[in-house]
Amino acid sequence: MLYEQLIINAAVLGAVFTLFALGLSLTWGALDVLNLAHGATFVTSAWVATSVYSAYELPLASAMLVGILTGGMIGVVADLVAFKPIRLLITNKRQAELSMVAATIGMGFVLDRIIGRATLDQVFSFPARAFPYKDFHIFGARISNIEIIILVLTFLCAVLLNLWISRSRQGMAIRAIAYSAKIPPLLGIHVDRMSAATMAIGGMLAGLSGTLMTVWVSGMAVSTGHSFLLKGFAIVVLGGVGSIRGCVLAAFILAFAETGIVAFGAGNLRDLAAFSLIVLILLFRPQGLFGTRSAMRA
Amino acid sequence: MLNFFSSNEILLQTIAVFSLLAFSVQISLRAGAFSLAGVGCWAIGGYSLAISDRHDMHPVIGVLIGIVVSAIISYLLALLLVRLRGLYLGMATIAFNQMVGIALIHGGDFTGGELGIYGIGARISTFQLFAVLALVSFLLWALERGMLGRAYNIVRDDEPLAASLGIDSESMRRFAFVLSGAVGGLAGALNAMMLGIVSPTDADFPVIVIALTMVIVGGYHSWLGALIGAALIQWLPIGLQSFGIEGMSEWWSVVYGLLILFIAVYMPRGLLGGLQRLGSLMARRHQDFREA
Amino acid sequence: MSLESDTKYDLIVEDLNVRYGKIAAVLGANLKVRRGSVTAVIGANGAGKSSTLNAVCGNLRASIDGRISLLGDSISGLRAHKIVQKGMVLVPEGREIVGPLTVRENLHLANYGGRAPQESARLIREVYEMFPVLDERQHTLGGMLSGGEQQMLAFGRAVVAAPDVIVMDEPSMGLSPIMVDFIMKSIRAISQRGLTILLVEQNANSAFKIADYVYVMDRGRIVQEGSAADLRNDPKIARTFLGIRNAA
Repeated sequence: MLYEQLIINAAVLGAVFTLFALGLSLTWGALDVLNLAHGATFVTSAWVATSVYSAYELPLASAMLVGILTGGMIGVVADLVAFKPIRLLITNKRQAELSMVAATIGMGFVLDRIIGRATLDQVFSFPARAFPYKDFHIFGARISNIEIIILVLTFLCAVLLNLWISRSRQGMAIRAIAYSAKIPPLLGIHVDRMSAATMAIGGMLAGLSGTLMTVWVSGMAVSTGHSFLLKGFAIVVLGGVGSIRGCVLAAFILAFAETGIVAFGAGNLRDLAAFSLIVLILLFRPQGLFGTRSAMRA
Repeated sequence: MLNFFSSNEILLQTIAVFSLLAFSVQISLRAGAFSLAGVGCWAIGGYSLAISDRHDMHPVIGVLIGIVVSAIISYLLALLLVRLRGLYLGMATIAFNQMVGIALIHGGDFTGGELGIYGIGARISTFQLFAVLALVSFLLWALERGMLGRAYNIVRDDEPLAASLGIDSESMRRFAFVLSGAVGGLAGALNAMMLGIVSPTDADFPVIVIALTMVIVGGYHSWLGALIGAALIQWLPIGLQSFGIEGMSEWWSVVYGLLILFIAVYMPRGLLGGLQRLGSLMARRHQDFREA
Repeated sequence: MSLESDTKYDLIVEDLNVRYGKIAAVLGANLKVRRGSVTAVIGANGAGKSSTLNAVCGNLRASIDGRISLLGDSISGLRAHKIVQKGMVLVPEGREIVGPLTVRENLHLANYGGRAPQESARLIREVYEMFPVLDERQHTLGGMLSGGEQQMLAFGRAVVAAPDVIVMDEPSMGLSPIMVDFIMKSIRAISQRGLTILLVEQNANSAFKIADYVYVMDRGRIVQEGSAADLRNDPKIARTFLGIRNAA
């Protein structure tokens, strides 16, 4: 019976990881950006959702929506303030890459401090009455309604994202941009607009992940963002940059590995899972499970 | 003048030590290798000194052990990570740093576990610190000059070109890796002497971020840039406080974040690059310049 | 320059100067591309032909001076994707196909960014009629195509964007003689659909076979221009570019 419970916990954790990592993989694959502010976006969205809920007494879903949109907005602002000018001003590719990473570090600092100050570096969450937790019993294990919601939402997002990237015209445009930044303008594609859209989606995924996480564990802090960021990278590397399938699989692998490690004793070695994974994959298969050397695939 | 030194001694010592850490990152960035393993070596160097101090060895021995162990580990790391490039290499070295931290936590009595090692007896004077800094600066300056300096530029910017010129990029990068680790280890050992304690968080993410951003803010194309970045970053919290604005010191990381953002976008060669451009703009006003 | 004569020309370039830092690649170039014509720019390597083309299409990071007007509208200083919206598409040197996308996806993508995204079905069908090979290999990845097939796809991409002017940079580059022949015939066919074509070619022989009007560039300047018929008989041109020893 214990095993079923572990599996459910690991699965839900994997789902939350998936949403977070998808956003990271999308921006890394399409825009060559290592978004080190993704964790801060995750936390900020959650904080905005909890604040708005308390301050304006909105229904929970609305508050969460506000949080998600905040995440999207942060992404767009990041693109406008940092990535667009860098694309314009810096021609050397390696230099641009480094600058974009540095820019996201800077933005992460700013967000972290603001939220840290606002929360007095404490854990924050929605008030207990906010969500009507309800447990169900399946196969002798307990699963709550929020956990079911998380699993369903994640599945929907992954499927929709996959469809969008592989079938839609914008998805094709993004895949083209991931392949080469020089070609799309010749095809009449507005790279700036697509870049902003990609960052918006990435940010919204972070926001969704953050708000759901906050409801699930009833607690979120600036440090959670850091932890997720590192794990997000492990997942993206393992799954293969730009591969949605890989991302999902890798997220669940990490979630199960972590849950297993904690359950079977060596709790403080939990984080070791993520880092060992990164190093091993980078050594033996740098393109990850499903990645290709170059572009984005569905 | 002496007043200035004595009242700001800690700041100066911190600047010296962090400059060395910045150097370690700069060395590898300059060679085109996005390696942050110098931070892991910073922890290794610190612990080497702490442990040798515990065994009553002379501090110089402790420092040397720190340097040698860091160099060896960096060499092995270089061999292991030879095929990685760009962001992937960066991530692998970050993972390495985290693993160093975890290893230190689980080192039992040898490494003092989660609390680290306290009460390191060895001490170093400000003068000695700056002497070491000057020495390493000179070494880096020498490496940036002449044929070797140019060779490294080529390895960084255009690998196929390097190959066609008969430059062995792989061994040059390996050398940069090892040197980066050695300097990181040196920095860590000196830091341990300055603070008197080492802890597993020495290889943690915040240190990595500080190390990288010092170099980016100052300018990673030259050792002087790293120095400027280190000095600025260590001074910033104090400087902001002295401006007297209420609670400024609390918000110093916001100022820092905005500074990094601005420099990353508009001054990719860092403050040093900006100063250089200003200087040459003033000196030669009427000519066009090719973007480097 | 009277307004009346302007409407005969789709593309007018006046006094174009292109500088890379201190190096001048194009000096005071003046070009007029007549509607419906095939206009070629020939010249030796490094003469500035590609720089001219790329500068005109907004695809160059350099210091650019001069006036460029497309269909009566000024496009000086506009970026590449905006110029596509205005009706001019560039087929770049080396084709630049999006490798991980299939033939079909490449065409759809170009149509999406072009001026008639709602007519994708019709335009793409026309491309398949023009180049049956592309129809056969609809689901092949762009990166897997041969050089000639990629050139065809590049042309197809330009066509589905529904432009008025197509600019081509060295379309025959890297292709076998048989392919070059076919490509040149294709360019003629595209022109016959009513499109205006400006092309740059190092292979002067091929260019002369299909061009109506020719510009000759040397070291950044346009040194000669005229109808293809006239220039073909010019002994100096014949000797320099066509390899004909004794042009009578």
